Amino acid sequence: MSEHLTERQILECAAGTGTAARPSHLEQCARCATEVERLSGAVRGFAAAVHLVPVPPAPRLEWAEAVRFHPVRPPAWRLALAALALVLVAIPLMFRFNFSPRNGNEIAAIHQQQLERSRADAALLEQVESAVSRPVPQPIEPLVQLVAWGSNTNSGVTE
Amino acid sequence: MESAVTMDVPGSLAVAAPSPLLDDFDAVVEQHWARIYRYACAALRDPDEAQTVAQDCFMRAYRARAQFRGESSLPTWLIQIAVNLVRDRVRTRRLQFWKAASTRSVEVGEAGRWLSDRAPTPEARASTRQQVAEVWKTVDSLSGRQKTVFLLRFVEGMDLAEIAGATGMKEGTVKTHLFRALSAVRQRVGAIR
Repeated sequence: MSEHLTERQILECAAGTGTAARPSHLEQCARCATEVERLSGAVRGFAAAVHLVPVPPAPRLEWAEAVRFHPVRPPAWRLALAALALVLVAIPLMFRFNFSPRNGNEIAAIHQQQLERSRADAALLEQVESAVSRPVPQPIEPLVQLVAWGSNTNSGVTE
Repeated sequence: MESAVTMDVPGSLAVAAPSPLLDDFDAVVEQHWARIYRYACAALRDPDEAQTVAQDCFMRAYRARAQFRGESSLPTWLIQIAVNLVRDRVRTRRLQFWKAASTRSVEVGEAGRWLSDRAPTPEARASTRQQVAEVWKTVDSLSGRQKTVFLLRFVEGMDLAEIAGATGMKEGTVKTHLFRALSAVRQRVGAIR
């Protein structure tokens, strides 16, 4: 009897891609036959198990309609890849054109400036409001007081 | 193997007539649904995703039915579409690593139990069950290509040329992936002797 089958030959027999000479060896060699059968049996068992998985019924669709309402979209991984490529292109460009992101101190300074500007705005608004709320404008106030003093004297009201 | 229905006009102006095999599309879906679903389910281990893939597969087939010229068989053409869809799903899944694993994974252990109920002795039943579980685990750990080739060869019973046609690989490459997958299974099965 010839030598035992090699690993490759056993795999070929189990895959069903072996040459005609090997089956004749398997008829004579119990050890190789057992090896092949163990592997083939496990694979057959697996395939049979997959065939036992319940299959849902085929959908009954109006295919022309279904296709119209489900446009072909690129798969998510392609979109992600495109986004990644965009980022990879953008980062060197940012450095090239010196669009360096601001550091913490710069951001704090900007916030401070914004705060001061809003305080100034609030103070100005307060000034405007007080000026508007006066019954008479400030420049003619002494005149109004003078008139008011005269009317008080006439009516005999003492302060 | 179906005959080609290409109107042979040389060059880029070649006009292809849609294959009459796809005329009754509902019948095509009815006939091939289980096969496509089963492949997607074995590859993705998720019945919901498998159903979506199977439905997408037939939608794509419907959309591209004018391009089917019968150069490969109809089942091979459909499997080719399903292989591409499954590959896209797997890649997308890798990107969505933050998502929890599917709660509805296929229990092939359960299927292995039904299978092993037919074995004659309790020992044989247990052994079959364990072997199925080990092969299932091994297939899950294979690379995408190895898994595809393994499933198409052993679950769908396709020959090397058909697998090459469906996956776009050369026959030699298909063989290499098949042997690597089988070698991994052999190691696993050998370990539970």
